[in-house]
Amino acid sequence: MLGMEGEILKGHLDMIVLATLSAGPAHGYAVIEEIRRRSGGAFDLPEGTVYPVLHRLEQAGLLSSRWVTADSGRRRRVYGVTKRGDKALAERREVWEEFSKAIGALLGGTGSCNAPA
Amino acid sequence: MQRPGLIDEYVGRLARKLDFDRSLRWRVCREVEDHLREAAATNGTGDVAAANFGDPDAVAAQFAVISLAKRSRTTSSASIVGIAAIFVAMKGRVAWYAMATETAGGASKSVAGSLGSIDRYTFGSLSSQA
Repeated sequence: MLGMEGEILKGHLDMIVLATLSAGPAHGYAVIEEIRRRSGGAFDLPEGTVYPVLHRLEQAGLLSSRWVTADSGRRRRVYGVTKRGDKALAERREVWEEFSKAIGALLGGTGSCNAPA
Repeated sequence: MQRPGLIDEYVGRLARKLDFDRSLRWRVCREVEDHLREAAATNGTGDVAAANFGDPDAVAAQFAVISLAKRSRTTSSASIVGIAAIFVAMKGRVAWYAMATETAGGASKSVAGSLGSIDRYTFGSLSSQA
């Protein structure tokens, strides 16, 4: 069962997965490891949560995928960001920056939301 | 110590839950199996890999939502194409009857006229429903 932090994280999984794959194509396991590594272990979702996101983003045309044969001989699906995915990520980054700035201002008590004198 | 067949057991359970979509089941099971084998090779045990992946029922439920959305989109697209094809065919028939009533004479003219009226009426009803 996911806690509140997990639920918040789930709401941003599309952006997290797109951002992770923007560095280059990777298979599901590598995506999960990279998310864990780049978040310093803070983002530790059940691994099965990421695969439906990969499939959904592919259906939306934001990712493309193909089968490759790994050194181990196993076939694996490798995902990469499409041009549409790059554009979507840039848009989401912009929205996120505005949102986090607004939340920061609210929580920090700075910015333009102070009570009138 | 890795219990033999633990990964196969997990993938088999997931496959049964994804029986509603054969192509999705094949692809997801291959991906998950590869993931679990790599995780087991890294962590040393299949049960840790399976536990980290999460409940197969919950994973299958997430894929069911995606599959349903895909099918809805496919059905909607097919319906739109079908309706458009019917409209084009009926428009063509109406135009053809109009041409036939101008060129034909006597009985064929009245038959073409009647059929044209029926098509125009049906086409009009369908247009108002759409």
